Order: sequence, then structure tokens, then C-alpha cells
Amino acid sequence: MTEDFELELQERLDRMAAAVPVAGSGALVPVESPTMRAGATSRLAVGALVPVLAVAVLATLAAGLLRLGPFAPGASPVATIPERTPAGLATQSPTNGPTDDAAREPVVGRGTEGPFAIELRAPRRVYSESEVIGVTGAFMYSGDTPVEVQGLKLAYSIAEPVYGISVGDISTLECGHQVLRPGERLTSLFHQSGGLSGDDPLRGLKRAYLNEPVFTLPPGTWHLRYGASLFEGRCSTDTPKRTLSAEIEIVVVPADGAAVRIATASEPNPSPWNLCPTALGGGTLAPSPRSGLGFGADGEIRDVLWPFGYTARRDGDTVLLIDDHGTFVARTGEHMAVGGGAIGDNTFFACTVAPRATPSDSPAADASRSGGFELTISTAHKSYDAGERIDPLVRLVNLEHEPAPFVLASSPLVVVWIGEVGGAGGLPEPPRDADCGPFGYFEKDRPWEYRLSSVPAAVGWWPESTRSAYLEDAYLVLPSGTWTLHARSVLFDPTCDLDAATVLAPGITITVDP
Amino acid sequence: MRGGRLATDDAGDRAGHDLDSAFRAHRDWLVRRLALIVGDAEEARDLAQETFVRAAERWPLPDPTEPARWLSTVGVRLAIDERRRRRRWGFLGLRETDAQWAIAVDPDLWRALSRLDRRTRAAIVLTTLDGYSQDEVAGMLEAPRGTVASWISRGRERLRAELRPDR
Repeated sequence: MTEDFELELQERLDRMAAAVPVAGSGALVPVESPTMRAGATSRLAVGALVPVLAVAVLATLAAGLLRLGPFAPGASPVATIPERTPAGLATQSPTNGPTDDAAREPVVGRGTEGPFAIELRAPRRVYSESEVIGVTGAFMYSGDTPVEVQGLKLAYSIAEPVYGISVGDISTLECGHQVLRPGERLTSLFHQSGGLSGDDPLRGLKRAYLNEPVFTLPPGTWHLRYGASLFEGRCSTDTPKRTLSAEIEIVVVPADGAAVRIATASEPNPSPWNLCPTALGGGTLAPSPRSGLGFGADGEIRDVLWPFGYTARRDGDTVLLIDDHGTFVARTGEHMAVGGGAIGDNTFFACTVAPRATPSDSPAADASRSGGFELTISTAHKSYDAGERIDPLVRLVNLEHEPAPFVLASSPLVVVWIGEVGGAGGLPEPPRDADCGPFGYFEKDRPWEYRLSSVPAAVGWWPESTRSAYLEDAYLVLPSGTWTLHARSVLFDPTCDLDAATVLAPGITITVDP
Repeated sequence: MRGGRLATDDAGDRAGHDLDSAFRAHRDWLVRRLALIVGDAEEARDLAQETFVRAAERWPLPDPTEPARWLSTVGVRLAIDERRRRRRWGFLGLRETDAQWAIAVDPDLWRALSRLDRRTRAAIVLTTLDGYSQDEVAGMLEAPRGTVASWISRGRERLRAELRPDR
């Protein structure tokens, strides 16, 4: 019977091996995007972006070193639209559309080369991730007489330094001949084009971008480029080639959904019409059905009218209060103090908010315990200086089970992700999938520990820029701001049923001072 | 020796000392083997690519008459190291596993294989499908022979229990 099974196993393995899709030789494959369809509204599929999440976490680390993209100072795209309510209060919501004046202004990039000019124009700077981005490029000739050009190539490209993504610079025009008349202007809508390599770790994302019928982008700070090259006269190595490029920067913010509407003053305080009372108020920050966030517990909620510009957003089971500079103030469940005065029956006008106490010598830690297991994530301090090394420790321990159980767990055993509170550096929680596999015997009180700063440099998989940045300074530093660090483990029972699995998901918030 | 190994050794002999020929002769075979071990065709293609990058760096190989063995060794070690690295980092593994090809062909075998760790899967694939001896596999996986024998024995028992529960 043993021999029978051996043969059967060999045959079945053979059949399965024959079914492996082996295509993908690593050769460069030029890809042309479909023509843009007016009115189409589909966008990049979330699934297609999943591979980049892992890179993005690393990129978060690298961005801390490089100070690029959404992590650059002042790059936070969060903006608000004050909206009157019948009660005379204004509610502000960190919606993600373009709302402030700067975000509404057109963004234009230009380049010139002799009598030729190129222009790239976006109607505004900030977009939501689900919005179609209507960018146009124009090539102009301003000479006095008609000119014969050959090999005119016009190409669009995108680059996102944090994600390490760059796609484009593939043109469809060959060395054709044409005559440009004075004042001639060639205009086209930005369209995706570019090539991707079969061994590019970001090929899934790039392919999704190139195949998208409309131009949308994932959250991030994106550099859009429009380039032109041409020969005046014949295409020849003897003829000087003219090259022009124009670049603009746009910000794509996460789609609305994480925002929590809160009541805010309709104008900054103090003002001639809005004096600032000096009574002391405060309490435990809690969700409020009327003002979004108030003080109280167990259903006894006192509404709060927050200062102008304050916003709130959901973070797991909690809501974060963020001030008008985008700085994290407090999380629901935490006690906080405010200065101001009572207005109406059950509303406190918070005119000033006490700064959050962040003693640098106290550790930040959170534990999630379930099913006899505990996952903790901690850092030595709650507050760091910009450039200071952050040393998060993740620890998974079997608290109860003896003898050691054989653990079936998701792979990776612990997922860690980093988000910027009130900024564009946030990453969504990686999806929970049913990747259930044997991890090993888990002995009681002998934890698995992961200290992120001691992880050896990865090879092969990462974009070169990210990897080299990490190699150069192999520990975690973050730009100034408020950051959340989350960890998650999924432990399965023998059925590998995700719904019945034990999910441990602690999270901490740290601040990095300028 | 059976199956793929005989075929690939012949191909390897023909491939001679030319890396490009070796790539064409062995690449698909390597992807198939690695896909069985890692359970993901895309990851297998990446690993095969990385294996050939390393081959290019070291070319000519120490034993040019048997490139398949060198490629198996490096590819499998990369597959296992990748797994170890992913576990330590905790950042990867976020992509949906690309396993429709396997599930469509033999869902029971796929499920049973997925419950084995990669080293055990590698040992079973290399011995059952490619006919390598336990000594050879021990060398490839840098593990004591007895340990490899234990992986294979336990792995086959688990496969048998899942694939032939009533026998």
C-alpha cells in the first residue's frame, strides 16, 4: 500500500506541476493603455493594490529617511469644508475632497526649449482616490514661421517616491514627419502609458494602473510628468534633439469613510464676535451622536463644540481627535482638559485645548489578549524627536496552553503597519485572508518577539530605492507628526475557519516632535 | 531517479555551459517545482528569477553537468529563506495566494500540501517527483539526514491521512 500511495502521490504531484502557469519570462513588456472613456467611473481594484501594501510599509520606513512624498513637511492633504447646521454650529469633517483654497487652485507645470513649450495642467491639486483626475497636456510652437519637425514624441508618466513607483515614458509616435505652424497647440488628456518588467515587484500595481480605463490613482503624493522630444529637421544623431518636460504634483487622499463629523466653531477663536471663555472643562473623550465627539461615559455624554479646524477620524474601534494643524490630540477613552465655557443646555464650547501630555520617558504599549494568547506592541517612549531611532517590539505569547499546542496561523504570523494620524502617510489595515498554515509548537510563556529595527535587510523583493535607503540606516525613524503602529496576528483552530479564528490586534500611538 | 529529474538532467547536459540555454531548458521546470513548494505561481516565478540571477553571478556553476541540481538547491533554499524572512518581517504575505491552478487540478492535494511546512513540501517534492535521495535533499536543505527523513516520513503520513482517510 505504501508503494501504491507513493505512485499515486507522484502522479498527482506531476499533474499539479504541469498545471503551474509558468508564463512570465522577465522580459520588458510594453503596455499601451486603452483610450480614456468619457464618463467612466471605475477605478483601480483594491485587490490589485494589495501587493504594494507590503512595499508601502517598508516605504514608510524609507520615507522617514528620505523625507519624501506624503511624509514631507506640510504635505498633509487633509482639508475641511465648514458647513452650517440649524443649531448654528458648524460641523467639520475630514472629507478628502479638495476643500481649501490652495487645493482648489489649478496646478500648472511648464517647460520651454527655444520656440517650443510644453504645459501640464490639473484643475486642482487634491483629489480623492476614487476621483477621475482630469489632467491635460499641451505642446505649443511659438515660432514666427512654420517649422518641419521629425520624431515628435509626447509621453505622460507618473512617479510616487514613497511607493517607489514610476510608470511611463513610452511613446507611440515613431520618427514621423510633420510641420508645425506658428501658434500651433497640440492638446491631449493625460493617459496612462508605460512599460513594465515581468520581474518588477510592483508589476501588479502598474498593470492595474495601465489597464485602468480612466485616470485614477491610489492615495499618495504623485508627480505627473509630460515630456516631449523632437528633431528640428531630420531624425538623426547629427541633429540636436530638443527635449522638454513639465511636471506637477497632485495629492490623492484616501476615500472618505474614515472621517467622523464633529461640531466645530465656524471661525477661528478668539475673534471679535467669538470671545474665548476661561472655564475649565474636560472629561473622557467619547463619541457623541450630536457633536461627533463629546465628554462622558455610559451614555451620559456632554456635547462639545470643538475649535475651528478640528477634525476627527476613525481608527479601528476608536475615534481620533485632530487639531487644526493635523496633530493628534486625543483618542476616545482618554481623558483630556479643555478651556472654554458652557453654551446651551448640554454643550461645552472648547475654546482652547490643553496640549497632549507626552512624557518622553514613558513607554507606549498595548496588548490584545484572546483565547489564551496575547499580542503586544510597544515602544520605549510615547514621544520621539525627529530623526530619533524608534524601536517597536512586537511580542506574541502563549499565556495558558500546556502542553504546547501546535499553532496554525496566518502567514506572516504578525503583520505590522504604520499610519500617520491626520496625514497622508496612513495605510489601511492589510486584509485578513484565510492563509492558514502550520507555524509550529508554541510553548507557554516563551514568546515570539520581533524587534523591527533588528530585522536584517531584505533582498530581492524590494524596490532598489527603498532597499538602499533601509540598508543605509537600518532602523525606523519617522518624520514629525503623530503615528499609529498596529500589529495583528490571526491564530486558527484546526478547521482554518477565518470566522472562528483568534484575532489579536493591539495598536499604539506615538508622536515625533520636530 | 524518476520523472522530471531525468528529463531535466538530459536537458542540462544539452544546455552545456551556456546560461541562456540553461535558462530555457530549466526555467519552467524550476517554476513548477517551486510552485509546488511555495504554493504560489507568482512567487515561484520570482524565486526562479532570483535563482537565475544568482546563477548568472556565479556562472559557470561548480558542476556544469548538473545545473538542475544547483538550481534546485538554490531555488529551494531561497523559497525557505523567503518564508522565514516573511515571518520575521511580518510585512509580506498580503497578496491573495495565486493558487487557482492547483485548486482546479487537485483541490484535495492542494489542501493537504498547504498544511505542510515548506521544508517538508520541498523534501517530498524533491524525493517523490525528482527522485533525489534523502542524503541529497539533506545537502540541499542544509539539514541532518535524519531530520530530513523525519520530515519526509511525517509529511507523507499526513498526506496519506488527508488523501486516503479511509485506508
